[in-house]
Amino acid sequence: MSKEIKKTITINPIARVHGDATMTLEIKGDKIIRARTTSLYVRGFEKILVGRDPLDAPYLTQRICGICSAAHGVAASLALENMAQAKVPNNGLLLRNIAFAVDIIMNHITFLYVLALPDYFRPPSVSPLVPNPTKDYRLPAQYNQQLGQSYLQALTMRAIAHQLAALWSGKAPHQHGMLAGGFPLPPTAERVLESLSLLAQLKGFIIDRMLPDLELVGEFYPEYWLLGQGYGRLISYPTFPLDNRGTTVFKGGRVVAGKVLPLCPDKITEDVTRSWYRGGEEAPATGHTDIEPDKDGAYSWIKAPRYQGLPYETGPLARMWINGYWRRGLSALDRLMARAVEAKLIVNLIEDWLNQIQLRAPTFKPIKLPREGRGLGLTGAMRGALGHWVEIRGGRIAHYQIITPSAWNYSPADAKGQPGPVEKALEKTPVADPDNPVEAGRILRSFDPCYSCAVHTVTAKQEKLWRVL
Amino acid sequence: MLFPLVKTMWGKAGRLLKQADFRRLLRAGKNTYSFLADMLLPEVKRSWQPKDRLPVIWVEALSCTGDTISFENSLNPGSWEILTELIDLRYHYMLMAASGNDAMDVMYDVANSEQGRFILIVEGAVPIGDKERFTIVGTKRGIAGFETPDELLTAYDAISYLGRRARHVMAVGSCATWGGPSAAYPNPAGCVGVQKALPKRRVINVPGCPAHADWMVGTLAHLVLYGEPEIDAYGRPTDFFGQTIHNLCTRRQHFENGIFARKLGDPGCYYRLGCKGPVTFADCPIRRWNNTSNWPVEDNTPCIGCTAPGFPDEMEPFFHHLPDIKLPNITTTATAVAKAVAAVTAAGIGTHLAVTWGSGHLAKTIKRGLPLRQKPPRAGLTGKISNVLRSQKSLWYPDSNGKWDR
Repeated sequence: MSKEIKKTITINPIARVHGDATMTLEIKGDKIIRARTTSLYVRGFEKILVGRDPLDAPYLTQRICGICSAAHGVAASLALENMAQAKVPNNGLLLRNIAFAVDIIMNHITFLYVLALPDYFRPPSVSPLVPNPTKDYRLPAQYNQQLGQSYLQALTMRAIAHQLAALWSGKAPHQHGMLAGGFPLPPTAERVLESLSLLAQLKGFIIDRMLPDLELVGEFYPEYWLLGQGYGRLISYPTFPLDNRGTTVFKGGRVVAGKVLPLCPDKITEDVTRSWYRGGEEAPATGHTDIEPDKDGAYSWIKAPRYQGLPYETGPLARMWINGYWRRGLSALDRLMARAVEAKLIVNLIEDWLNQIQLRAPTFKPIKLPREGRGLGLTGAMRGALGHWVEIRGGRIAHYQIITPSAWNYSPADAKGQPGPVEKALEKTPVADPDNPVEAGRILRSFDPCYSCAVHTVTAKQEKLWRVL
Repeated sequence: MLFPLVKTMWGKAGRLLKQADFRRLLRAGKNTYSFLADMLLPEVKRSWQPKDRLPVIWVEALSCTGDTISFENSLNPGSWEILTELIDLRYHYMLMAASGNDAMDVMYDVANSEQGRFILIVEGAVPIGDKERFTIVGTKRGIAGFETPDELLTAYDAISYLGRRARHVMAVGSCATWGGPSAAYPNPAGCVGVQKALPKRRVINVPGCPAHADWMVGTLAHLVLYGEPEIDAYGRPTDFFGQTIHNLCTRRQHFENGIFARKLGDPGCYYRLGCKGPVTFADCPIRRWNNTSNWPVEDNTPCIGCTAPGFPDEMEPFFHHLPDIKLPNITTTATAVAKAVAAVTAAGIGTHLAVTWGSGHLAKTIKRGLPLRQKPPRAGLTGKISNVLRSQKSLWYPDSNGKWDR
């Protein structure tokens, strides 16, 4: 029996993720046996929202995240419209979908090229891309050059995507068009035509560059079609509403063992056994955020969302699997591929929507909020299932709870000891060089980490953290 | 006109243009873009070796990364041109290749070997509550010179360590300048702006939620080529934040003529729907957002005052006219705070209205007994007129006293 050395390493900070974060890996021999992901900053957005005008929520919640701002704007608007039982003009929904969908395209291009792909191709030797300790680059020079060109092009394309979002929404990030009650800007023919021309550039990039580039990566890194499997349970919410009756483009649902099952939002709970909060398992509509920094066994500021007590993974892969566009597997590369496939689908959708816009139909109808009420806004975001639960009393926000996609993915272990989906996906990953675990970085990044979102909930002291690290 | 200037001004001092001319270009809205990209950057590249480019460390404290996203939205010059020709961005955790200790070593290497030469850019508020522990940006790697002995590097530690050694300190985004949304009531993490965290340093504040790419790139270009720009009492470069949105607004004439929007999505002035333009200093109306594609008021929504100190608390509620602010009888401290600060903002808006009411077209319109709401011109025509106005405004330069010729 060979003697296997057990080693614990901490990577702080993790580069090319969204938000300051760290990762602690226990490595035995050449495999990761346990992983913990911890976020390193706290903001307390849910506390900030209490006492404010509910109509401000779509703008304020966008400030949670700079890269997926539109998703929070949409979720907050949907929650308020749900509370007011508002009838939003279909034209307004269509325009909101366009502004949101373009932000998703921007996110996917930024994520794939700026954050994820430098793990697979050698990026240009310009700071901040030097020093680059990664040694495991396998693409031949000619293909590496191709990806290098795509990288530069992607920097322009993501800006063009935001230009298109701002054309409809005033500015991006933190779009002004995201409002409860529809979309404020009536469409004009010039805007539609300009959008179509900008969209053609994005479409060309996604079809000619993004998809072939990822296929190349898949060819030269075949083991990542198997690594990073996780639980194999996926969850996604309905995305892109088309009318007030609940018709959506992408359906919500769950995937368990490859089968698509329906989803009931009431069964979502948040577990705080391993998080520094008081209480047990609570539903988000009534859940609390009371901190308990000296709690035994806790190691994270992120709560653990669970569906019927089980951890679920979310993201474009879940959305594509449930709607039948990508069902190859559940590995790290599948997650990247699902993003590219989704980007292509969404570009085509935007084109359809732009052609469906009615130039003279109304786009906005002010909503009338009750003095007291509750609302739920569920949408698919760039990184998966995003839910806003809002309650107002006396015309002001009394309770706001947000479950972000990154909270689903980066959740800690729960009462039953089940680790979060990312921690699970990192387990059993072989590591060639324990001092520079590039494999762990690739798997972690395949989830498109967004700690700005994941940690918005917390408000607290951080003393316990020091002992953990 | 500019070509001979570039040729003659380029001398041993390394200056392309007189500073005044450069600033004129910064103010001219979208012209800055093409000027920087087409003329300045190639010149910078030709005369400066790559090693001469100023190193930049970009630290993210408590923020949403929106300013990085906005910085990357710069199209002309694109972010790649900025990285390869204008500055030498050595540390930015979201863009760099190295992680963990390799990344931290880069930061300490720049801080020590380039001491007094590098530019520190801070994005995000600095949490100083509870021993500054709410944001950790890395590890200390056993480097001496920190006030606290813990191995984890807090944002405050990083900023005070780097701030002492930097040539310039630039705070980008409303969180970094005054706390912004991170410091909104009840300020759970105890956030302050960079200037408060570094009281002994001059901090160049580039506010905005997020800051416009031009504001960041333009200020950075000024720092690189001419040193510190002229700043106002709040530390903002006056080239970008010298005028109120209201003064530059493309819908100013609607205000003067009393054409007010009644609900979101209407054309017209958004003053009665809570527009904070009268108290917000920024040049959004002439610069416009995202490669000049649009800006919030033209999107039929009010300005929410994101470049103003005190955003968002002092600027809320976003969709209510401040002097008519209605506060329900709930005794949360949030509303109490908002009430106190809103009064200041309201006073500003109120004074402005009083002046305009007495002297402007609004008063005349009302005196003549015309209905307040007039039918606005057709959208296409408005668009054309505002385009013409915009192109004219970009040609208006300040006179010798620095006043804008109006």
